[in-house]
Amino acid sequence: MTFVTWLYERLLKLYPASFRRTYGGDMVEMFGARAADAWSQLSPLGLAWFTGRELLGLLAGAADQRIRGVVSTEGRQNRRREGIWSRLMTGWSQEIRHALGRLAKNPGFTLATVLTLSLGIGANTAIFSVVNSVVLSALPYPDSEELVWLDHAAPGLNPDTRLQMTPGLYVHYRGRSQTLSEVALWSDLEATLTGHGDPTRVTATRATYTLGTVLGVQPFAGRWFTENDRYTDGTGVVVLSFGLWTSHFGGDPAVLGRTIQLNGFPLEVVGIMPASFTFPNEAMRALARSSANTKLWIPSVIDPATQTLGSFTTLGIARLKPGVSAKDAQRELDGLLSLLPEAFPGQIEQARQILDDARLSAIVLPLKEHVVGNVRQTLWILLGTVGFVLLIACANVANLLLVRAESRRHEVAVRRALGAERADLVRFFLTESSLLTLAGAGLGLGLAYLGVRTLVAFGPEDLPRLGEVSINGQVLAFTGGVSSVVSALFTAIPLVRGTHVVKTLTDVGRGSTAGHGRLLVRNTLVTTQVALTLVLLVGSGLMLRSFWRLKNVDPGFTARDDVVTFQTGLPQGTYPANADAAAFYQELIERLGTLPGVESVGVITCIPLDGWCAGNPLQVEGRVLKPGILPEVVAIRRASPGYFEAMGIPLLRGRVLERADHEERTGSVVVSAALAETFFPGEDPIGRRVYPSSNPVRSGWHTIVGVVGNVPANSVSRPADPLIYQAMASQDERGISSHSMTVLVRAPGQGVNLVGLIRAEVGAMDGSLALAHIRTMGDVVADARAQTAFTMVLMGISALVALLLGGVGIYGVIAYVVNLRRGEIGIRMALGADASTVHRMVLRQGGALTTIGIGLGLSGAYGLTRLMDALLFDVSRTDPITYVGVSLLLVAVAAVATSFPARKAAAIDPIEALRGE
Amino acid sequence: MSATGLDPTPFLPLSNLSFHILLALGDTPAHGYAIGKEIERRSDGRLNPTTGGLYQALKRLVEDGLVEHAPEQDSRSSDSRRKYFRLTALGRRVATLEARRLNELVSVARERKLFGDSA
Repeated sequence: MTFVTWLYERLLKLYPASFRRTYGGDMVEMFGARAADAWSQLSPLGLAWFTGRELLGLLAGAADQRIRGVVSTEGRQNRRREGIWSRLMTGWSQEIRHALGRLAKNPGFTLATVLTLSLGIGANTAIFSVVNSVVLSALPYPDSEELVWLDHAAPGLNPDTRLQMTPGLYVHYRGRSQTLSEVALWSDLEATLTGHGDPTRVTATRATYTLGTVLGVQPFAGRWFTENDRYTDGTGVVVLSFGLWTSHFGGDPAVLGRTIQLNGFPLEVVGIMPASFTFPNEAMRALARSSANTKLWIPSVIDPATQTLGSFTTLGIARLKPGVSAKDAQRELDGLLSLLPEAFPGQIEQARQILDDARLSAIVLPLKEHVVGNVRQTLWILLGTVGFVLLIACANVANLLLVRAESRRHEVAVRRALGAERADLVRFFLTESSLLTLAGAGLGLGLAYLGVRTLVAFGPEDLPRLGEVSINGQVLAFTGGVSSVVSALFTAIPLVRGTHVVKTLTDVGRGSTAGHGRLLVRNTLVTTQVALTLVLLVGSGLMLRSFWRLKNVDPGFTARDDVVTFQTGLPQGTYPANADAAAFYQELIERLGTLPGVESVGVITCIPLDGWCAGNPLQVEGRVLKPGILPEVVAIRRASPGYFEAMGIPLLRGRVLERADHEERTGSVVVSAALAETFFPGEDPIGRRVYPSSNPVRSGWHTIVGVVGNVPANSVSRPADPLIYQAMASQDERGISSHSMTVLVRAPGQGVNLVGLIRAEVGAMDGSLALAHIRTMGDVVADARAQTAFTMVLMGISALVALLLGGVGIYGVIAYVVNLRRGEIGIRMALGADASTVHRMVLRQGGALTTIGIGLGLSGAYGLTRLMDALLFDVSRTDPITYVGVSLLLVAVAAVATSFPARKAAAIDPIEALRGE
Repeated sequence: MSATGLDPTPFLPLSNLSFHILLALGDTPAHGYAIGKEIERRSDGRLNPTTGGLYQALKRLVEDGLVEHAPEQDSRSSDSRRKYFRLTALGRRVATLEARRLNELVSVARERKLFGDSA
C-alpha cells in the first residue's frame, strides 16, 4: 500500500461510521485502482493534481456527510418539506462542492491566490508567534505578574547608570516593606565543577534562600535552601539543575546527600530543580551578558548584622503582595530609602552619600517588562511590517478576484434576475473566498512552522525568551482571525462589483465605460500597494544603513577570528590571593606564547562588549570633591602584560602594563582615552594618581602610566566608555579578583585550530581547570550586532516580498488597461501612431500610478519611521539617501513590470484590434 | 412500499453527475470503479468525479431509492466486500423523464437557433 492510499484510508475516518462501513472498503479499493492508473499514465504534476483533487473530494464529502448527519437523518424524499435551516445547510455543502469544482477548473488563478495569501498569512503567523511568546505570554513562574525587578537610579552619579541592589538594601527592604511579600538577591558566577569525570566549567547562581519563595517553584527532588544553609568556610550546600543532574550525574537520585566539588569547595547536594525551571532565565541572562545556563544554585548568606550599604553588585527581584502595583511598591521603597541613615547608624556617612550625592531612587519594574522591554518595540515593528506585506498580498488577490468577478458579473446578474437572494450570492462568494483563504492559511501555517523553526535556530542569542517560541492555540486563533477578515474582505469585492443587475445586463458588450469605473478601483489598489511597498522599503533601507554604519564603526580592537578567547577560573582554595592567580596566568601566557603561529597572549577580567562588569566612581589625588557631587563612574578591569597587543588596542601615550606591575605590585594603571579626556581635559594624565572608589582612600593611590585607545564595554554603538586597567595584582586586595579571567590568544591564520593545543597547555599546568566560552573576537562582535542584523534581515525579506508583489500588482493593472484599450490603441495606430509612441504611452500610465504611490508612500514613511528611531544607529529617520534610493528602486521595478504590457501594446495589430471592437 | 408507485417528478432536474450515474447503470449492475470509468468514457473525460464525490452521489441515490445495492454479481471475485449498484424501477423512470426533459430543452434551443447556422 502506498503512502497516499494509507493517508486516504486514515482520512476516511472523518466520515460517519455508517457511511464508512457501507462504502469505506470500496472507496479505498477504487482510489487504489485509480491511483495505479494515474501512476502509469500521468506526469508528476498530473499525479499531484490527481492526488490533491481526490483528497479534497474526500474531505468535502466528509464535511457534507457530517452536516447531513446533524441536520437530518431522513432521506432526501423529505427534502422539500425540511425547514429553512436544513435547506441552508444542504446548500452549503453543495456550495462547497461547486466552489471546489470552480476553483479546480481555474488552477492558475487558484494557485496564484493561494500562494500569495500563504506568503502573507505565513509571515504574519510566524512573527505573531514570536510576539506572542516573547511579549504577550506570561513568564514561566506561578503568578508571574506579581514578580518585579528591583533596581536603582543614581542621577547624581550618571543619568544612565542603574545600580541594581546591595545586601544592605535587601535587609532594609525585607525588614520594612509592606508592599513586597518577599525579596531575593542573586548574582552569577563561573565555577569549576570537579570530582565527577572531566573538570567542567559551569555557571552557578548564588541566591538568597528567599528566591524559592519569590519564584514559587518547588524542587523536583529534595529541598530548596533554608535560612540556615551556608556556602562559606569550605562547606555548604548546592541545588542542581535538572539538566546538570541528568547530564553529569546520570539522573541518579542517590546524588541527594552526596558531596560535589565546586571551585575546590565540597558542597552537599540537597535538591534538584524540575526540568522546566530556569532561573535566571535566558532573558535575564542576556541582560547580564552571559550566554550560559545556570547549572546549579548555591546559597548567598546575608547576615543583617554585618551588612554594608555600598557594593551594588547583586541583582534583585521581589514578589508583590496581591493587589499591589509596581508603582505602589516603587513609591514605598523610595520612602524607605530616606530612612537609611537611621537604619544604618554605623554607616551614616555612606547613607548620606547615597541619598544626597548619588540621589538614589528605587525603580520597581514588572519582571516581564524588564525582560522584554527593549525588544518589545522591535517585535511590534516587525509585526507591523509583515502586516503591511499581508495588506499588499491582499491587494494583489483583490485584483485577481476583480478580474474573476468581472468575467462573472453576467453570471451574478443572471442569478439575481432569476431570483437568487442576496444571501445566496453572499454564500456563493463567501464559499469560494473561504476555501481560498483556508488553503492559503493552511499553507501559510506550514510556512510559519518552518519560519519559526528557522527563527529559533538562527535568531540572535540576546533575543529574550526565543526558546519559548512556538505555534500554539493563541497563534492558531490569530491566524484564524486574520484569515476570516481576509475572506470577508474578498467576499465583499465581487458583491460590490457585481450586483447591479439591470446595469450589468444592459451593459453587455459595452465593456469600456464600466471598465473605466472598475479601473478606478484597481488603480486605487495598485497605488496603495506601491505606497505600502515604499514604506517597507524605507524601513528596511534605514535598517540596512544602520547595520552598515554599525559594521563600519571601528570597535577599537581586533574584531577578527585571528584572536581566540576562552574563560577559565582558578579555585580560591589552591590560589588564595590575586598574586597567586597572577603568577599562574603569567606562566600560562608564556606557555601559550610558544605555540606555533601565536603572536601575543594576554588575559583580562572582562573583554570588550561583555558588559560593564565592574565599576566605581574615580577619585583623583589632589581634587577635593565638591559636596553633593560624586565623580563619574568608570569601568574597572584587571589585565596582564600582552593584553593590549593581543586585543589590538593601540597605545596612545606612556606604556602598557608590564610583568613587574603585578609581580612587584607597583600600583601602576593604564586608562582609556575617554577616561583621560573626562578627568584630565587638556592635561597630561601620565603620572597622575587616581583611585576607583567612593570611599576615602586608605592605601596606595594608583599611578597612571599609559593611555590606550577606547573600546566599548557594552555596545558597539557606544564606543567611548571610560575604562581603567589595573595590574593582575596590587597592594590593595580590595576590588576585583584575578581568579576568573578571559584569555586571548592572537594567532593570525590559526584561530580556533589552536584550541586543542591550548587545552593541553592549560591541563598540563592544572588538571582541575576547564575552558569555557571558547570563541573568537570576530564572534564576539557578530553577537553584539546580531539583534540589529536580525531585524534588518526580517525587514529586508518583508520588503523584498512586498517589492515582488507590488511589481506583480503594477503588471496586472497595466496589462488589464492595455487589454481594455486595445480598440483605442488600434485606432491610434491606424491613424499613424508608431509602436514607440504606444510603448511610451503605456509606460507613462504605469509611471503615473507609481509616482502617486511613491508620493503617498514617502509621506507615510516619514510618519511611520518615527516608531523606528530607537532601532536606528547613526542614521536619521529622514535620511535622504535612503528615501531617494528606495524610490528609484521602486521606479525601476515598476518600469520593468510596465514594460511587458507596454511591449504587448506596441505589438498590437490595428486591424485585429479594430475587428475585435 | 412499491417504488413504481412513487412520483418521480420531485427528483427532476437531476444533477449532471446523478444523471450520468443512472445512465452508466442503465444496462447492468456495476461497482464504483466501473461506474467512474463509464462516466469518464461517456463524457469524453469532461466529467470525472473524485472517488469521494462518486460515492457521495451513489449513497444519495440509494437513499432516494433511485439506485439499490445489487446482490453480488461476480461469484469469481474473492473480495466479498465489493458493493454492486443497479437501477431501481423508480430510478429508471426518473432517468427516462430527465432524458425527455433535456430533449425538450434541446428542441427549444434548436428552434431558437441557439446552436448556430448548422441547426
